[in-house]
Amino acid sequence: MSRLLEVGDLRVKIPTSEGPLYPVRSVSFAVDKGEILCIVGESGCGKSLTSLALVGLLPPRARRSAERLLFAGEDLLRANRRRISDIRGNRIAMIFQDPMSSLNPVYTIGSQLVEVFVRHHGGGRAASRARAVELLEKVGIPSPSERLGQFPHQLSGGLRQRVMIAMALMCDPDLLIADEPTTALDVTIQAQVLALLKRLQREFGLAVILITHDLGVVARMADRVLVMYAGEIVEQARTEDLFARPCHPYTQGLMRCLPGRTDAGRLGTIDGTVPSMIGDLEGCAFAERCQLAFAQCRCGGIALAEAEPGHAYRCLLPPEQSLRHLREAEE
Amino acid sequence: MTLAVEARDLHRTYHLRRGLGGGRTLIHAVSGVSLRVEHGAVLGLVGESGCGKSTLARHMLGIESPSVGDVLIDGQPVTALSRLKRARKVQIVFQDPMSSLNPRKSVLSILTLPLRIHGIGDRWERERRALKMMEHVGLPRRLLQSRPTNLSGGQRQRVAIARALMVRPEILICDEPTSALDVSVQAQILNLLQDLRAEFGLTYILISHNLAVIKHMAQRVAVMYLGKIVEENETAALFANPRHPYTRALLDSILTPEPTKGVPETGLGITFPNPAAPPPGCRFHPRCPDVMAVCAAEAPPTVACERGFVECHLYDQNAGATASKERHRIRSMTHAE
Repeated sequence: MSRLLEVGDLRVKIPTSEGPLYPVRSVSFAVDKGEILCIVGESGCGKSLTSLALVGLLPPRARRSAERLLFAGEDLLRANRRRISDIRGNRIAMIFQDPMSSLNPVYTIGSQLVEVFVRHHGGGRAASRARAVELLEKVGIPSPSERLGQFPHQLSGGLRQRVMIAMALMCDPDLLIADEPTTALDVTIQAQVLALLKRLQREFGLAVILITHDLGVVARMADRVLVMYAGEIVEQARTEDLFARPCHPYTQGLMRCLPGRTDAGRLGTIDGTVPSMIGDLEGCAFAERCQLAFAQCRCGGIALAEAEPGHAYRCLLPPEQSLRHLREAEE
Repeated sequence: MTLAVEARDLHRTYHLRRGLGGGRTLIHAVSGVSLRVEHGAVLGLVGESGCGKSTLARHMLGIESPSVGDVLIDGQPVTALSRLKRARKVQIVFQDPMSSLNPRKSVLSILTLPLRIHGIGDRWERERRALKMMEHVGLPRRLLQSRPTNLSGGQRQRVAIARALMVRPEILICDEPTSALDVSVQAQILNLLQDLRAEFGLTYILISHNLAVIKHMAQRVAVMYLGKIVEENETAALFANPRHPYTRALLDSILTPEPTKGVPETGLGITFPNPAAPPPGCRFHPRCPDVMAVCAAEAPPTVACERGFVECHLYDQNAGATASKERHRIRSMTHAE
C-alpha cells in the first residue's frame, strides 16, 4: 500500500504564564491509503491536538513545528494558508464529537452540505444538491430530499452525526479525521454509526484517523493503533498485535481497567495522575505511575523499541517482563 | 421485610409549550413503571437518552411528584416525607461533578453543608466528620481547602460521592457516575463505590448507558425504552439470555475489546422514537427486527421469566400462531448456540 500521510517529529507548543506547555511532543507516524488508524489515549494526552495540528486548526496561541508533514506527496509545511484551506474539507475531511456544535443551527442541512461542495468544486446548485441527496442516502438517512430543508435541531443526535459524515464525504476526500465521532451517542446508535463509517471507508477507499478514548472502538475499527500518553506515542502496533501482546505498562494498565474483562470483583487501576506538560520531561512520562519503574526510567529520553515488525513501544523493560507482571496482577 | 425502593405503576407526563401562542404537547416521560429494589441491592437502569431513566431517578429523590402512581422509600410514599427526612434516605451523584459542585466553595464547605442543613454537630464535629469521609472516599487531607476547579475529574467525583454520603443515606442514586471520566479513573471510582457499599450497607440505583459497567456492578438490571421497563432480570440471566429484542440489540452493541469481531450489526432501524407521540401497540415495534402484525396493534403483555419479566409479544402465550412460530424460532436459535 502507498503512503498517504507522513508525519515526522510533530510538536505543539502553547505559551502559558508558567512557561511553555508541550501537549504534543515529537510525534511521528504514517497513514497508508485506505487504512484506519486509531489514536487512543485519555483526556489531555494530545490526541486531538495532534489531529488539529495536521490541518492547521490549532487554537490561536498554539505553535506547531514539524520535521516532515507530507500529504499525498505534498509538503504541508510549505503550503500557504490558501492552499491549506483548499485541501481542508476537500482532500482531508473532519468530523467531531458533538455534531450540534459543528453544524450551524441557523442554516438548513441542505445549504450547509451544498456550501462545502460549491466552495471546493464550484458548479451549479442543482448539481450540488443532487450530490447532497446522493450522500444523505448513502449514510442511511430516510427521505433525504426532504431533509435538505430541515435545520440541525430537527434531527436526532444519530442523524446529525450521519449528516456530518455526509458533509465530510461531499468532496470525496482521501483522508477522514474523526475525533471521538460516537462518544456523544447512545450505544446502539454508536454501533450503527461505526458500522456506517467502516462501510463507507471500504466503499470510498478512505483512509481514516479515528481518535477515541474507548479501547472497544479501537478493537473493532482499527487496522493500526497509536497509544498516546502525555503528548508522546508510547506504543504503536497492528490492532491484533496490540491486544494480544500489549508491551507498554500504560497500555497494559488501560486494558486492566476495562470492566467486564474478568469476573473478579475489583478492577485494575492506574494510580497517580498525568504529569504536568509544562517544560521538558525527564525520562519516561509514565514513570511516576508505573509499578515497574526503576532508576533508569527517570533519566534521559527513552526511544521506541521494537517488539516485532510494526510493533514499537517506549519502555526500557522487555515486554515479557511487564506482561508477566500484568498476568500476576490479574490473578 | 420492607423494600428499599418501590415504584408502583408510576406515570409522569410533562406539558411542553410549542413556541409563543402555540399549542401544548404532552410528553410521556415515564408511563407505568413498577420496580422493587431490596435493601443492599444494586439495580442497574439502562436505556438510551430520553427513555426516562433520569425522570425515574428524580421521582425516587422525591423532587418530582408523579402524575399517577407512587414511589415508596422504606415502605413510605416519598412525597409524604419531609425534605430533610427524604435527604437522609436518598442521595444522588450526578454525571458531571463540575456542574454539580459549587466552584466557589472549598471541599470542606461543600462536605459540611449537608450537616449544617441538618443541624448535625458543631463546627469542630462537622470538620471531623468531613475529614473522616474524605478518608473513606480516598481524598487526601491536604485538599480540604481546595476548590473543585483545582481538583482532577476523579477527585471531583470523589467529593460528590462524599457529599452524598455525609448524612448517611440508605440509598444512593448514581446517575452516569463515570461517563465523564477516563477509563483508568472510572475503574477507581467503580472500585470505590463497591467498597463504600460494603462499608455503609448502601443500596444503589446505578444509571448508565455503559453496559460493561452495569454488568460489573449490578445484581439486577432493568432495561427502559421510551418510558417503560421492557425487561428486568438478574444481571447474569439478562446478559446470558436477553429476551426483549431491544435488550438483545443493546447487548449486541457492546464493543468488547476483541479485535477479530468487527463492528456489530444491531438490526435496529434509525427512526428515533418521539416521546410526544409514542407509537401504538408496542413502543419498540418501529425499530424491532422481530416485528409482527400484532405489535403495532396491541400493547405487549408482561410475561414472567426466570426471576424477572419481559414485555414483548414474542413471549405471549395467547398471541396466536405467528407468535408461537416466532417463539419456536428463537428457542431453536438459543438451543443451537
